[in-house]
Amino acid sequence: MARGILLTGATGFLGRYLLRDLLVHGRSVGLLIRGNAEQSAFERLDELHDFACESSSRTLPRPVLLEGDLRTPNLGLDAAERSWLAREVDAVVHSAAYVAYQPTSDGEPWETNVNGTYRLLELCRSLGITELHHLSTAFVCGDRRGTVHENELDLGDGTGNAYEQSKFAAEQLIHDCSGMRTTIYRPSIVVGDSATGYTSTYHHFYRFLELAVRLSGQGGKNRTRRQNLSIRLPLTGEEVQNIVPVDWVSQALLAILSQPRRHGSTYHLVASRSLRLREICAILGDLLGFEGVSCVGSEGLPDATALESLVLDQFKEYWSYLRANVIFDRRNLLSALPDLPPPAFDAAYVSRLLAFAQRDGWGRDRTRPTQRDEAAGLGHYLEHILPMRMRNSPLAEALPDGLIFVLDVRGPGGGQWSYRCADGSLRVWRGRAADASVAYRMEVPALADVLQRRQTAQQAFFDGRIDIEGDAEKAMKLALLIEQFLAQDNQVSPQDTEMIHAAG
Amino acid sequence: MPPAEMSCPVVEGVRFSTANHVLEGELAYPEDRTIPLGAVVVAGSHPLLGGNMHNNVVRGLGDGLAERGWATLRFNYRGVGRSEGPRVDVAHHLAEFWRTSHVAGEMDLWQDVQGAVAFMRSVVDPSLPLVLIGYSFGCALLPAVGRAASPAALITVAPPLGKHNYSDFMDSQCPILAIVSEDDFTLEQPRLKIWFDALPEPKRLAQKASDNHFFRGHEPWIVETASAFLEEHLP
Repeated sequence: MARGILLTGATGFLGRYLLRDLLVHGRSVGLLIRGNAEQSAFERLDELHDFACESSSRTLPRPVLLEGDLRTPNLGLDAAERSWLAREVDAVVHSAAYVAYQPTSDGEPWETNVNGTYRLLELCRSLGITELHHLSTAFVCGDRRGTVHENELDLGDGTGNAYEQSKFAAEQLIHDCSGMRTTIYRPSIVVGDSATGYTSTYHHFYRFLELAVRLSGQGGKNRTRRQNLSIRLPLTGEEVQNIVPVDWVSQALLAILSQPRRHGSTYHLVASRSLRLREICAILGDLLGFEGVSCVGSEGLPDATALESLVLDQFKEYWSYLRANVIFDRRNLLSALPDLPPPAFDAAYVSRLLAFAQRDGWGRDRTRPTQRDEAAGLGHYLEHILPMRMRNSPLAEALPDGLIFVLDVRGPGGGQWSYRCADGSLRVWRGRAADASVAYRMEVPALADVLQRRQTAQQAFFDGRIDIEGDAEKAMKLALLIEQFLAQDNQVSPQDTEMIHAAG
Repeated sequence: MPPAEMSCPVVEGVRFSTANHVLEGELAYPEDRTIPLGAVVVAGSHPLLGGNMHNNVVRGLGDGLAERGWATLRFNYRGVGRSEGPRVDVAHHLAEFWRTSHVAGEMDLWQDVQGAVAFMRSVVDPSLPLVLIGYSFGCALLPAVGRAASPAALITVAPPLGKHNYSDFMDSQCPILAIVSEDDFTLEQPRLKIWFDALPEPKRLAQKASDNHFFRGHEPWIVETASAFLEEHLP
């Protein structure tokens, strides 16, 4: 009789579906979760359990919380927790990953994706757990073209991005691991729920979707008039994109997991048919009421207009994916799951994705502190999200070099943060800099209102909710800059921070 | 003019045309007076530094003087709030604004004040006195408007003398009140003295420390000072 499953990465987009489906399948589940600045591990588990129950319309048993972190020895689990694992668990579903494409100064994505996987394998070995189901990505094929088979592990001639490299290295680790039966799942581009459009992250495909909405200027609401965008893309239009719904990926994994004779192989969890870029543009054009996006060949666009440059800049991070021309072989998948084809990626499905994203504000409100958790999340936002977003903002150039300012925030969740403007970025540290030119003093709700754009910083000041110490003129101008940043930050698609921190 | 009595003002949202745009404003007037004491137009601070009709000083003067019998108009400059017109491309101008505190075309906003005056002339008996009030940057717009509008009084609140040309006030033909916060970061006392001394009579300088340039919590003092000045000089 099947015993329990240890699931990593349940807080990620796919992870929450895996948790739901494992619970629906009656599996006993232990979750490896770490707390973050906004929520304790316990609160995160609560939220995941709520999602599982609500999205399945069932009352499901509560998973067991194992508070830990892939980035620490023994995953941060104490002897009692390890003993519980050895006793209750016989398989691991490893879906935790650091999914941003660019490397960071603290060693990501390697630390989570490679070293974390190594620590997990070591723990399994020490506890006698021999069954591992590993979530990888179809893009461990790097920049290869043509057909990629499921039994191949070849990054191609190029290097791929840091994320792909790290997932490639993790697969190598797993292949080299003796004494375990390992199954590898490689989804392609994962997007929202095929039935509801739900997503918890807005990167990759959603960046294109949102840009299309913005360029069409209609948000999909007014389709009486087609807008001619006159945008040329340096692509042939024949490039293919393989896109799959999150719920199908989860179901497919569960279906293979429940067939032990299928374990030990690698599966491309991909769509049966990739879509050409030309087709995707046509679907979006019909839905959003635009035309005039033309693919003019892959030779580049030396005379790009300002709008075209803006579009290409937005695509920069995904350029290698856009130009990909790869076919993922699915022989193993079809053999294991002949009767579970993925839903078609058609206009009706894209329409559901679009409707959900727009209702959800493209997830942006969730990455700023919400009313519910603004006190708890403020520190995280001020220390991590704000500097990261500012660095990626065009307004970074306007930061006055050398200026030091302080946010002195009173009340639960508050504190003192000092910022130094330097080289187009904000360097932040806790505490009050003695040499600050400007200090803003306020209560937590006032700052939260400004960050949520319920009130401008200047208006909050005039209303007496923010006080200024130091150079008042600089303080007012800086407040203007921050307002502009917050307004603009609500319009561009930043890297999705929830995913970045979904290492579980 | 009899001493002003306090009464609760009526506030109406209005839209009015200038030469180029339709602007939004709030017209306030005393509910229990058939005829107001006169018309007041309040020109707010710089649009990039919180200059809108909801600013504490602008609102304080608009409501406060309406309580004392005046019909007042505060409004949003072009491109601010729901006023029509191009918004300042802040991202584009931010570096320059940080350095100079100016943006191209800002002095054209006098036309918005002129439009506000024309609107007030159309809704308030034009034979009644017209008072122009500027706060901060708005002070610098008053002389250009005053040339054609023939105001009965000018009131400047926290005029940033070092940032604009205030020499045109010397040609004024009406009483001038300057309200200044002694701890204003824009204030240069020697420059203030030179400017004020050169103004034609009648004039008055009212000063006290009033929350730097911003007068938060000092709005009643501004209103009292302005009201007393108008009572004295517009009998």
